[in-house]
Amino acid sequence: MNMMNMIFKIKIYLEAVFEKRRNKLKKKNILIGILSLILTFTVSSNVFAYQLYPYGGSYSTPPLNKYYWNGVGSVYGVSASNVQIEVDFAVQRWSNTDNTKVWFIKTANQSQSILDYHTFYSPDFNLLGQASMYVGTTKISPSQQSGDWSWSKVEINTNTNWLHSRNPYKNPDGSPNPNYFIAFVAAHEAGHSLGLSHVNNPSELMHIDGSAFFNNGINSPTAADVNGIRAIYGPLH
Amino acid sequence: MDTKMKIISYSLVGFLGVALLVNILPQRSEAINSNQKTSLVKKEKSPIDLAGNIIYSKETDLPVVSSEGLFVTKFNNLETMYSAADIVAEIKVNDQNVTPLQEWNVYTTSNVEVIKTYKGDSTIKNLLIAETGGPVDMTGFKEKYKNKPGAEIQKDNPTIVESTLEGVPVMKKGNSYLVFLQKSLQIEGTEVPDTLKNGYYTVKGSIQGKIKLDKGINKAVATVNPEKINEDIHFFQKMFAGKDIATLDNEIQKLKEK
Repeated sequence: MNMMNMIFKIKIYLEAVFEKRRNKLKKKNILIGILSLILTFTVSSNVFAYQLYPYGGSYSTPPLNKYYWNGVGSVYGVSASNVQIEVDFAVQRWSNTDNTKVWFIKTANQSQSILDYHTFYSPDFNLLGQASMYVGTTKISPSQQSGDWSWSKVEINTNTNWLHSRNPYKNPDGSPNPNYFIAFVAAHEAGHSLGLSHVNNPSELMHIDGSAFFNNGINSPTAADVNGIRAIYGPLH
Repeated sequence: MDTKMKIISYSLVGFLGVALLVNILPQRSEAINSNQKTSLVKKEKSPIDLAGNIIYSKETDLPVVSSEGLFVTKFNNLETMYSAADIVAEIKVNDQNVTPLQEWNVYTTSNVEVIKTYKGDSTIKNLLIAETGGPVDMTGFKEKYKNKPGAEIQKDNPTIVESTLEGVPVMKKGNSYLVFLQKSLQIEGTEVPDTLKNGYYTVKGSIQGKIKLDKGINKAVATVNPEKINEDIHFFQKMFAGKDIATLDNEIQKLKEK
């Protein structure tokens, strides 16, 4: 009887121990599950991150088969015709993005253009370029609740160091090649015109400073930028 | 694994799958015709809440319009901006000039008096600071671009506006600021306007190294458009707007002593 009693007590003790371990394991698994969930959200939102303007401003109609006008001049170290080539390159890279409603056609008639390119002088050499948005002749601010725009103007600053030593693209003699740098600025500003705001990731075109180009050699739309455009205007197909 | 654990595990896997799809494929959530945009972008967000400690000071009564900039450098913290600046000082704007540029761009030059120098040559008592932006008369613009898309639907069309970069108006006459400055670089081959030929300073990081000091309430105040202040590039204004000038002074002194 005593023996039976002892066995019974041991059985109860072991069950309690196992129950404790099961509960611990359950808690551990739930914790792992929650952590995985957080990780999934974090990783996926970083990889595919794009930023739209607070009120969702963009072109009022998708820029599909719309006109752009290229009126840029020379900048230091690059002739006007070469700056024009880089701007054309940047616009074409946007037009060639997969499954987007972006297709620009070059025009000599500035009135019909929804994306104008200029060069301009700014005393601020830290400024590479700027984009401004308009409805007719009214300038609007994309971050304010002023609605969509009908056309935009991109301006490239002549008074900056286009021969920046951090430029990853070099000429055969080892000097920095400014052409890709110009294409980067032209493509970034077109991104604003299309409705993309700045991001904090320097591996994306829409990063706010030159590090996307200097550190990662980016000079055309990345997957995240393309996702942003599809989110704004919908996919082409 | 007991049944309960199995249920929990399967639920988590399912949930993770759904989360992944929602994050990766936002563009597939709505098919639309080619003349419309998706409703995804039409979800309006509330304006930035300034109800906390941030104090906003309006710099102008003109309608403020903003261009989106791309900069050589964006600063992430005060230490980096301080070490990159040639001069860090408290200044007061005594006089200003607005110079028109191509395509209705303008720049504003401010003759400033140096009140206190934190970094740089402390014998300098006056400086010329050039900033992109300022008041612009759009009369000629309206004529040149009258046939541009959208002319038939535009509503407000003010003639004079305050042009800004990233929603930050240029400094204004009579006001005091704490500024991080960079001495002008001579970009070879660029023609410099006469007013700037003797050299000038720019705000470090274009719009990043500047905050207004409201001597009336003895506080640093934000001048960036309230809807933009949460953007990373405005970290300096966001960090100190609403704080006592003495607190800001103390933080800059600490950088000086490092």
